[in-house]
Amino acid sequence: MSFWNVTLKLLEAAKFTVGIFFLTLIIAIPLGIVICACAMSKFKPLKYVTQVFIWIIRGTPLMLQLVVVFYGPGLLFGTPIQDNFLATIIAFSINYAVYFAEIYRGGIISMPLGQYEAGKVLGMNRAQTNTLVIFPQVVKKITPAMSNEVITLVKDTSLANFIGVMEIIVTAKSLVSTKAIIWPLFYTGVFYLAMVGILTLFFKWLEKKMNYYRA
Amino acid sequence: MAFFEVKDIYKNFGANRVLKGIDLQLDEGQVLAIIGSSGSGKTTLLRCINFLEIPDKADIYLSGENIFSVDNLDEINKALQDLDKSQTQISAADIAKEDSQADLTNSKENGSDIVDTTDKKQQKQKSKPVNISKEKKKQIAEQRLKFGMVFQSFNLFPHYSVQKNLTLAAKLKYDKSIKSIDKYFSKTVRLARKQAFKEIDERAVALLQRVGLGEKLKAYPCELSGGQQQRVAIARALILQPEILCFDEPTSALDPELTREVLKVIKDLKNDGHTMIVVTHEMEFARKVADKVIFMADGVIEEQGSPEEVFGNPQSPKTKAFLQESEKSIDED
Repeated sequence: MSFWNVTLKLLEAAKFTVGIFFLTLIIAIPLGIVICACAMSKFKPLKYVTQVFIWIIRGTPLMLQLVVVFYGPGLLFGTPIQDNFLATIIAFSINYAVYFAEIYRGGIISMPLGQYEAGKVLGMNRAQTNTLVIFPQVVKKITPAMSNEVITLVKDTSLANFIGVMEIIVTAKSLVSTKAIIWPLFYTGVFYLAMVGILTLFFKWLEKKMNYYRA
Repeated sequence: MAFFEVKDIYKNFGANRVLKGIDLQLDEGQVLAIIGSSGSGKTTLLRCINFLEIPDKADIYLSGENIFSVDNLDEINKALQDLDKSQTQISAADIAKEDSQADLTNSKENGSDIVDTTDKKQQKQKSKPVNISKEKKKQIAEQRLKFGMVFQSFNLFPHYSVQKNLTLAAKLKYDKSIKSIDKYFSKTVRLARKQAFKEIDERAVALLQRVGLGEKLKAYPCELSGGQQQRVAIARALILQPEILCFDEPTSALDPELTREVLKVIKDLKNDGHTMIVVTHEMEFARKVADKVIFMADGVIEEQGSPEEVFGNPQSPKTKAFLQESEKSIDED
């Protein structure tokens, strides 16, 4: 099998990788805000339930969560999820939303009290202080941590092969077994490196863009 | 009645009695300096005056109008007594302590009520903390705008330019006065809003020039020195046209040179007729600029009067000791 053919095959598989990546981000970033708000809620029951939820999600392997989402509904209610891609997106979104929520929370609690008080004495209400004073600064604070998570997500997409999504690694593995060539497996690394390279440049640009002030 | 009057202000933090009954009066255009050693409660007093802390008991009058009244002292004392009792009880001490601490937070929350709540039923209640109602929070927020506040650590918004730091709150305040939908659909409202914002921008420029920073309009706080940042903070507090401007140790984070430029601005503001309350460690400043000096010790006013009286002829031994101590440190420098 030629180098060109392998590249085409892997590129086709890469659309699952890229798909998982973007869909997970699109869902997890806002979902993380919701989870963060629940985890910081003044309503104690909600807060504790969320904390337990965060503990469970962070405390179990993503691979296990994939399996639970994919097979769980079928075993429990007799309505199996047919689509393994959908199951992947659900599991990834929840998992990453929880990590994002903790990053958001860290950013928020690191804000000095003085910023809230300044908002208060200037007659701003809680929502105004949050949206105009706190959150814009939090975004800058958490960008390095978020870039870390986002880069991890690129590589975590390969876990989807566990429930049969035909992403890059699976495709390469099938080439190894059907065509008896090992190098496509190594070749997959180039694809991940390329994606992470683009992300690294993007976050560098973003950090520079937000560097117009120092806190 | 004086322009500004605070009667019988009490504040506890848990079992820590920080303010134990303070009265003060201030006439319009006067500068009040509050001095005293660390932990004497002077910052807490200032924070209670502009409701960053809600006092346990206080009556506050501005231009003859009662703007704030609260009395939860009985409840709080009761909670504190419970705390004392539970601490002396050896058996099941932990549980009792927890109980009374719950009480304490309880009454602390109650302490935020504006209306007198000497209701006996409420005193007996040991149930969940009573939250301040939205209505009361709104009232307090409105009253707070009568006081400008300048913090020790400036607390400028680092992600906004000096201009936006100054104008943000004023523009939000204007937007609150109009219906938000009109902002987009009514042409007259839109034009009026544009005009109002232009005036706010102009006011910001004028204020910035007043504090000697006219050319820094587009700068970001991180590009300014500490003294410049504090002067921007003063301008920011002034743009909302407060009745009284409060300073919480405005120069404590600054070196002597920068201190001088900030104190000069405060002096200029006095000449403009602003009423100000300044918590300070700068004795020279208090002596020269203040119309009235309060020396605080252990949560009470130990001595008050004109600068000449307090600095020139202190009566209380505590005041004498404090002033000697601060003199000494000047000599040692």
